[in-house]
Amino acid sequence: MVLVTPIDADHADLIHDVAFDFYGRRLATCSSDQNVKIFDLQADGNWRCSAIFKTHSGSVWKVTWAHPEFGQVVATCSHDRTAAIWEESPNGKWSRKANIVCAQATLKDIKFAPKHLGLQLATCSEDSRVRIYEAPDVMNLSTWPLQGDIDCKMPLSCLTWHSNANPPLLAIGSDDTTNNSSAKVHFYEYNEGTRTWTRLDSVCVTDPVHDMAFAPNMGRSFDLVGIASKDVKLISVTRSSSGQMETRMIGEFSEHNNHVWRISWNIFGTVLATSGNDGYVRLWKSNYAQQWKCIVTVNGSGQQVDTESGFVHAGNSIAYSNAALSKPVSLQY
Amino acid sequence: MNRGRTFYDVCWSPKDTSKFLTANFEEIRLYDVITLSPDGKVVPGASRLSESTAAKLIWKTSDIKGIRCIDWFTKPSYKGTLLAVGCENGEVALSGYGTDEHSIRGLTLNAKPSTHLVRPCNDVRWSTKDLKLACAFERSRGEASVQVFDLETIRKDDLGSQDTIRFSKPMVSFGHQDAAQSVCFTPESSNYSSALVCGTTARKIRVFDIREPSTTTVSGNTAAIYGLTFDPYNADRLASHGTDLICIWDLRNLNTPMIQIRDQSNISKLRWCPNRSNQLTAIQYECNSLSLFIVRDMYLSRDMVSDDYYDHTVIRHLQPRSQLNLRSFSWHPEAENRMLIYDSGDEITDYTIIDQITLNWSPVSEIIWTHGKKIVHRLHEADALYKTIDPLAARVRKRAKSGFGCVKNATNICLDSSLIDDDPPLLNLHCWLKELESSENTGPRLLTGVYYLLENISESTSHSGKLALDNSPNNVKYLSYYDHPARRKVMALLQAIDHRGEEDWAQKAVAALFQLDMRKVMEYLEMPSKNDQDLNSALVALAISGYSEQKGSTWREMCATLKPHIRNPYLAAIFAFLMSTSDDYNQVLNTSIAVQDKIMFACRFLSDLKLQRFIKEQTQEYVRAGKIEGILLTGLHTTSDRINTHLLDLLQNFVDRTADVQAASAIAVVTRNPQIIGHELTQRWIECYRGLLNQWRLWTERALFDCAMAPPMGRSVPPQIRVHCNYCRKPISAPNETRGRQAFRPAPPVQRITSCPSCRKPLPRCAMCLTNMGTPISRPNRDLKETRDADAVLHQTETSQFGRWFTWCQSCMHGGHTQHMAHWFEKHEKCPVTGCQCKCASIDVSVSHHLQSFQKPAA
Repeated sequence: MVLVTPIDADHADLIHDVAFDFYGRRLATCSSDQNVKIFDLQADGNWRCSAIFKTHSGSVWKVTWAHPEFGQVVATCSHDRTAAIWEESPNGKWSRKANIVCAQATLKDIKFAPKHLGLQLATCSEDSRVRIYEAPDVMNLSTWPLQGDIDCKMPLSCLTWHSNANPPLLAIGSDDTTNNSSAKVHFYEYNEGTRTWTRLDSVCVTDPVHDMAFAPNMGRSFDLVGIASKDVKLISVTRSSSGQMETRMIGEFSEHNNHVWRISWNIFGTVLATSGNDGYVRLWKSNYAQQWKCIVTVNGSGQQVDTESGFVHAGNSIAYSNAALSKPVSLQY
Repeated sequence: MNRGRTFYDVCWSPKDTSKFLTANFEEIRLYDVITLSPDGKVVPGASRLSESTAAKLIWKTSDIKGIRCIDWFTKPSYKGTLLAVGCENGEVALSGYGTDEHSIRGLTLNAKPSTHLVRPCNDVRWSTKDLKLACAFERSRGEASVQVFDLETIRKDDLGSQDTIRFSKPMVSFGHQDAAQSVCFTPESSNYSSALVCGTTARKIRVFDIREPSTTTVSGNTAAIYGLTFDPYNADRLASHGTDLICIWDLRNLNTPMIQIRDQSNISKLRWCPNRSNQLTAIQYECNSLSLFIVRDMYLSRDMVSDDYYDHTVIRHLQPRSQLNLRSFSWHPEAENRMLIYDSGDEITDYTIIDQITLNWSPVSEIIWTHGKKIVHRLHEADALYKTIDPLAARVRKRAKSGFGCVKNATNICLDSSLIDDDPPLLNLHCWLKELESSENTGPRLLTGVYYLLENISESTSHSGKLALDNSPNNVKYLSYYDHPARRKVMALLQAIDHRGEEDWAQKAVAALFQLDMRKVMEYLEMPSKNDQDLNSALVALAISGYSEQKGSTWREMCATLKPHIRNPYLAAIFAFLMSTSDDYNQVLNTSIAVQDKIMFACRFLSDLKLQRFIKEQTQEYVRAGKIEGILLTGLHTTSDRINTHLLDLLQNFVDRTADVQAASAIAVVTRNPQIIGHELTQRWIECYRGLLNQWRLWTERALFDCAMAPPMGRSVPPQIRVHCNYCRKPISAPNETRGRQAFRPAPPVQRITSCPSCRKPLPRCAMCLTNMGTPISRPNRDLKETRDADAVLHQTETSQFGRWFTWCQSCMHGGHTQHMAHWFEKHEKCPVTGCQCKCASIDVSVSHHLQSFQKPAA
């Protein structure tokens, strides 16, 4: 049974990212065909393509929207090592405002910082650096001086901002396949005094990490981080009053049987969506006892598959995650 | 194709995509692909390729020995299957199956007398245009290592009726110096339309023009001389590989490779992906993984490149046959991501690479994910499946839209009962609030929790009571109950939130029992049996009526054995109570009846010490579990001015558990206690909830919520915008300055001002009427003729005084009276100031739209 409605994106090559704007009324897709498409939600609830623009001379890996208070702005990053900032003018035309050429290697991820930090942009690259840029004048998006530069000493694949931490907090992941022993997830915090980013913690995920996402905080006393690696990992992060960071593995779920590509939270941070190499989209939710289970499995073409066996799997993984619960992840790096 | 390695290959038919061939050292097989019926049963005689496909052998030959390379003639106009097979002994055999219009099958090219030195054939490749075949040979004295045969000419001439025709005269031949390892025709659309590329053992890639055999282009030294393959997306780009190296070349500039990839080893086959740009696929000898990588785009300028390593990115390593090593693969020419895999277990698999699915979750309840390159799937709030996934968002949105937690009137804060019907704990809270409202009590509204009411209880008076079923002295239960003003207060409170209906007979029975009113208990228990719904309760009533106080009586024994079978917790509680002996009520308190019933019970029958301990334990438990029911215990307020930390902890745990910041912040706001609302934790929930409402574009709801929150906070809001004099920088609405909120209001008509009140300089002029701002406005003459609508507008704007207030374009900073500007932009797009080219009205579409609606309020 098909449960979902398709949108014809009609890219000429594989779509690498889809991103919603702040209100969820606009959608940007990017693809290996080097184009970005913008879709707008119509009054009848359908999506209509309102703009197509060629952004790069390489596959466009990621696209991200800025907060609408800075205007209708998207940023893209590409295999051609550049990041681009695009802004929509009132007449609906998109124009390139800036091209950021800094990285020595393909840029794997790009994310705007949460609104309270101003118009900041973080990129991470395979040359093992995270670079943070800031537009000092929000009316002029053509200059993006480099504000921070973090050398993680391993090729990077993904990053995620904490939604409301102050000072800003970044989680960075690496998909390095050459070194199997080092930790691949790092937490960095901005130190206002020294004006540098300092590493707070690393989590012992040794498999390559493909995607990561902080759950929206929603007033919780702790934070959840979803990690897409060889399996779906869920980490809870707590900060003690002294600022010490403590991470704890809440669950590891191997239902995808293979690498997990992308991970995304709902707005409350209560349901997690993952997509994996097995071609399925899975949704995860915690039960009353705070144990996470796979609740829905949908295949790539939108057909729901055997929830029954999905539950059997989930049962197994709960036993597994209980084992994981008992031992907190070591904090040294 | 390398020496010393056994040859294995698999190949999709380039024309008829339902056929493929496999070849090894001594045998060629041709298969037909059949799609299986949905039940997945394999047709007899076929072997399974994948879940939905199977292969059926249609032809095989083992006539040709020592096969080293094979190529399939691709031209669509040719109907049959024509294969060129290069052999160890240097022969190139033409073989095939099906109709053969050219009748050149069976031909053997380049056959040598056995005395000759044998030089194996390294590669054969058909031209895509016509019947030309290029062959690459090992080196031999006096003979060219690359030979091109034109089979169009052959068949016309000297073909007889013999079974095998030997033919050895090439159309052209090149490369007398070195052996050729691989050969490939250039695509038609490339710059060299009729050229041949070959990789030679002298570590060069050479390009020969077939029409002019003497002209060659030579590349720089390279080890990547095997497996030449042209990029299907760029006719001038080709890839080749060595054992540990992959090179990407631009045909027009062969001096140095565009890209060199060095992190692969032992490569056995390299191919471009036919329907993904810039994507290469490679497998290695003795290896189970298939690598897909993306290389730099052809037209990306070279100067950006500083390090070879970054020219490509391995995007995936796949293990299609898990532990089995891969011998060969072949991309399906049309279907996306489909390929055949030939593994070391001698099996062929029809393998589809699953594209990376990218997904994202919208703030407004929509999940979206990609499927290939065309389709994006969405799972929307309206879809049935979504409701099971995320009921919280739907509930919070519904409540927010109906004004949950917002101001209803000046004093009352709404926790609307119709909205929280499905949420008993919140409903209790609502009843509690309602009760307070209705009581005539004019004092401060306090909702003190049970915990705080009973915190310091002492000196309760003890009374003895009895529970009599009938008049017989045997069946009387004597017990003591307690009384204290605080206890009475608690019980009154519990009764206030009691909203049980008809169907809650068991609860009512228990409540009556705790009041020691046995008659009522019986009445309630009989209620359901009257309707024949549940005979169970009647049986319980029957059992109760046989109550016996004597220890060890049959009644007690029976009850003890039956009790575990009673599923209704309230009936169980009745038995537990009746069976309890002398003040030991743990049995009753451990049943799973609602917390208010337990408290009710405890207040009546537990001694001060026990009561305090019980309440404390319960409070801690509910706080730890973060259950809203526990608010009954913690209350919203404490007895003194202390901050209600229990409530905050409970709400924090509730938020940790459910993420329902809406309920948490609404409850916090309902306390109307600045200490609670101003608390760091509360502020965080409120900020999150406000952020949520903003993100959902429920701005009105957010503003209402802000208003609900504001009075207890008692904060003064500074004015956001002021109009000040250009000369002295003092606000022109100076008389009202002390009352900041009125700064944006125009001066009252009585004290109309046309100049700055402090420096007496005139105010700017309106661009339309050219009078100083602040002066009474006159309608433009032309408006007099206009319809009544305009009058209505004027009337309205006069009363609101907005029409004569300042309005200006944010871009060119020209402006004037609001009403004049509105009139002007009704018909014009450009600024009314002479010479100003600013298209004020078109800059902000929403504003001009707003102005139009301002013009026609009657509509």
